[in-house]
Amino acid sequence: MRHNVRRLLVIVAIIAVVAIPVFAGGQDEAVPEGPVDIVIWGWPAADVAFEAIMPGFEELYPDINVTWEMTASDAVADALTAAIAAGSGAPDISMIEINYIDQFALFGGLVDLLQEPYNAGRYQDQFVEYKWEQATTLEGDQLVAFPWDIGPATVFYRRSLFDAAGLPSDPDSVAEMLSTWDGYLETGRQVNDPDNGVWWTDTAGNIPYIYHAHKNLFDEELNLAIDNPDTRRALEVAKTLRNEGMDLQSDFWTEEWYAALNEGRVATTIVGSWFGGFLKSWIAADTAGDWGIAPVPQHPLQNWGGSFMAIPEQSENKAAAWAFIEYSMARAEPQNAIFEAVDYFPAYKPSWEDDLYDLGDPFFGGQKTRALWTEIATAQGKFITTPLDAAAEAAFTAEVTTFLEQNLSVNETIDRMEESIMQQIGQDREMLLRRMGN
Amino acid sequence: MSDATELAHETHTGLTTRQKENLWRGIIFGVLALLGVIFFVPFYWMIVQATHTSKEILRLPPPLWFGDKALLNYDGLLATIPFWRNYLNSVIISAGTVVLTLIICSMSGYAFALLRFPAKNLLFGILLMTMMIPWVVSIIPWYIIMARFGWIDTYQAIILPAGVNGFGVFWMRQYITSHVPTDLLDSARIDGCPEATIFPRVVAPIITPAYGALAILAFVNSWNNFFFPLIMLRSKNMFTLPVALNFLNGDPYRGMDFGVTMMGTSLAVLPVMIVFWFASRRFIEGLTAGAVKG
Amino acid sequence: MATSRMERQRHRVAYMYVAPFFIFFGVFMAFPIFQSLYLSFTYSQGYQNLTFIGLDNYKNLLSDSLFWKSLYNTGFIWILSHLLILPGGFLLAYAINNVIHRGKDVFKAVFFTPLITSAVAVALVFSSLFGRNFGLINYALTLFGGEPVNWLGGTGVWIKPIIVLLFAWRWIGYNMVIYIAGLQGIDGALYESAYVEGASKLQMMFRITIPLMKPILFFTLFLSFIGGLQIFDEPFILLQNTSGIGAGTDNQGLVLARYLYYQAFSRWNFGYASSIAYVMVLIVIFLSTITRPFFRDQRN
Repeated sequence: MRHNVRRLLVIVAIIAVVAIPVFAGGQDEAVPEGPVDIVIWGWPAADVAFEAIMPGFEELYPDINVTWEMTASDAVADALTAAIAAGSGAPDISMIEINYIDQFALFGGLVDLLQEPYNAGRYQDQFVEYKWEQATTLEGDQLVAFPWDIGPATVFYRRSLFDAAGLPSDPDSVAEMLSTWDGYLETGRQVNDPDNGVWWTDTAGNIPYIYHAHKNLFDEELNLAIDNPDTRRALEVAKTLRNEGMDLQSDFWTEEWYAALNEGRVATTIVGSWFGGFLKSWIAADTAGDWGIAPVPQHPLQNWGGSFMAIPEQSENKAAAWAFIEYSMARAEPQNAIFEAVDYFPAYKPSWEDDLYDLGDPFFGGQKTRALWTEIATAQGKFITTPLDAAAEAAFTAEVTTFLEQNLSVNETIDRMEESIMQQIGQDREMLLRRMGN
Repeated sequence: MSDATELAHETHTGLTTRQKENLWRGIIFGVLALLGVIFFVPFYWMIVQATHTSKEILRLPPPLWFGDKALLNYDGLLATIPFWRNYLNSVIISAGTVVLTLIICSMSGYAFALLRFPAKNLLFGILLMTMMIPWVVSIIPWYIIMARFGWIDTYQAIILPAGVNGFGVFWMRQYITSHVPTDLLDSARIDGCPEATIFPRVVAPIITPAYGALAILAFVNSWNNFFFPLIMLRSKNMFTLPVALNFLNGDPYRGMDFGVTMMGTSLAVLPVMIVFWFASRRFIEGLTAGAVKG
Repeated sequence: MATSRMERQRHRVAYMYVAPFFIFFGVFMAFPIFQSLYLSFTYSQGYQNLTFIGLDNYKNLLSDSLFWKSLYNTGFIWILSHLLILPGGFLLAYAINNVIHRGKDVFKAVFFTPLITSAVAVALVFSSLFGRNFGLINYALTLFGGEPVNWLGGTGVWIKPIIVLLFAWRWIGYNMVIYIAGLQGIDGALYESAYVEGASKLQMMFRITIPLMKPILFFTLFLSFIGGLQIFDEPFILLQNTSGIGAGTDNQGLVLARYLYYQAFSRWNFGYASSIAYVMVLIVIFLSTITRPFFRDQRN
């Protein structure tokens, strides 16, 4: 009997120890009192970006302790969705990429920043218009995330590989050579030298992707927008690249791809401006000076990427989180510090008035990269993003891979893409239409 | 076989039957040995890669002998995931699963084997059904239940559903039926033993081999479980080994480091393998004891 | 009266002993089965905004080429793996048990080892072994004058064979061990009398061994079918870094469980995923009813 009573006491003690923290809980305070810890989820090179602005932030807010957890952007979106669905585990701030933003606006679980005490609405005019729109809910009444950067896309090229082919490698000449897809192919044929370990580009599949990188997969009525002359032409260009052996066939974000870029096996790649930051920080830091950028052939006004910062409802340090977001995203100085460090192009227009944008970048051989990106960013028209983008994009890229691997025709591929995408998102699209109009 | 018959065979084939048999045996032995070596090539490869850096691995020809970068990869491993914490998680979850499984399966197995009660056949039928139902049909509701309780990313989320182990009950029942005579129960009852304590006092002590075998099976199953922990565990600190290894593989953050991944894999695989090799005979015997009688 | 009361008391104890299992069953199997069924008639994002849509999910499933592809892939992999595992496991078992005299335990352990390691671990190793540029297999091929093959990518034609190989490599040991036990259960006297009657080793194998092993064969086959239907770990890891869903070029490595995972935990379409799960249940029910006679035979 005594044995049982003792056991019972132990159990009660354990329950008490466990229960007290659970019930004591945490209160959500409007004003941060005392030291606060906030956690940010994001992907590289945001950590380098944050490091650049921490000194300034710590001066203003010495009591806020910031830590970040970096994984891939898809993983962040996945984990955030899971945390929201599970009701626990969300961070205080999460980065959200442009291909997921509409989805999250729909899904919910993020704090509406238009409310008190954030009042984000006062910044609206200072941001690139479509960014603001993207982070707004369907009904137009809530802002679920704060805009950060946009990604004017350009060709990134290795100067030394152009030199080796006997071609001029200064930005103006290269821009001239690559002004059309034909020019791109022509130049490619001269630079491509697989026997000596040099390929023109990393993967032919990237070419069609440019037109639909996190955008313009659908039109405003949610009809598929991939069947158009530009996309078809891009597919043809991709096919030519593949069939003439001009691409390394190395997928983005693989070990092989990083190695190829670092070791100069790939002459060109087409990505958003933030890629400069990647190159500088961990991909190819010791190749400084050997890079240059040129506008995307044929249709230079392309955008690839762009992020937002959101505060999940689950956060218990919302005020501190907002303090960080406001400081880093809605001020010119921090935005430009970030831009300088990792080439994340600010969507915060007042930042553009800095001298920084007229400086040459030594990593790019002194080229005025920021000026070119600004040109593209300001001339960029509107483009369309939807909650269906992430899934549609996955289907799109998968079909491009099959197109190249199995050497299908462009017509067949467009059909397959449409079928494949509709299969994936058909139901979601229907439900979304119901919610939207009718 | 008499010498006469042997001689008779010899003149016909040039070899005695016994010699032919020995030859065959030798050949088969050789084939088995070769196959065994081939079977182990993946493990060899794994260890070789674990001792080289990614740069050394991604070249031609690939390294075929051990390198000296094991420590480097080990550091890289610990920098990416809390590896030993993941190990601990696997141990805790597997141990918890084993305890739960042994308790539930032995109790039910005992009842189905030796006791009589109404609706026994019906309940047993349900039991058989549980073995047939693919567990995928339950995972989404499991996820929802765990989310409702706030148990996503906890140990119990993975341990508790393992309590539905129809196979374990079946196994225990088989073993008990064939190893525990019913008169043992009757004599216990006659001796005045309360009905409810017959199991722990009389039956459980003599079925320890079944406990052992089921424990091993349940442990290994839980240890290697991937799908379910993948869904339920969200933070790196709670990952089990398979989920942690998967993280190493699928995380393109700064590029995947092959040496580190293989080091993690080696550390996850080798201890289990070594333990198994010491106890392999018992293990395999226990595994087949119940299965064959069935 | 006393007997009846004692009986009732005994019944109560019996129920107490089976209760734990059935409680867990109720919470973690019975309830989920019904909730899954309900979910399969809905559309939702996660489990928010649940909308009842009747049989729409099943209708979409019928025209979902990815679903049919995953069904085909799963079946292909299962059949091919078992064509390797069953005869292979049996041959190994026969060789180890009946032919060789020494080293039995070592061989048993060797071929069983792949099974105790986690599928994730071995899949990682295999994806390295079969890497396009730096894998051991391709390197060995080039040494023999061949061309490197894009095993897990390219046109995708090799993806399923690789999965089959990995699956078979892991599970052949398990079958082997079961068969060895079965072989040992066969009365040696049967072989003796057959030998006296002039039967060859081969005849003995086919006339005595195999028929007597039939119950075990069917039992393991049945269990392995349920397992094989839900294969997940190996294709997931091998193809994780491919584009699209992560099932290789043209989704040639897409298996049912992978597609379910994609729909449930990448797209958060719980309803649609549940309908996939239910179809899998129907498949099992269908096939087990067909093979019921064999199963019952075994249980005797």
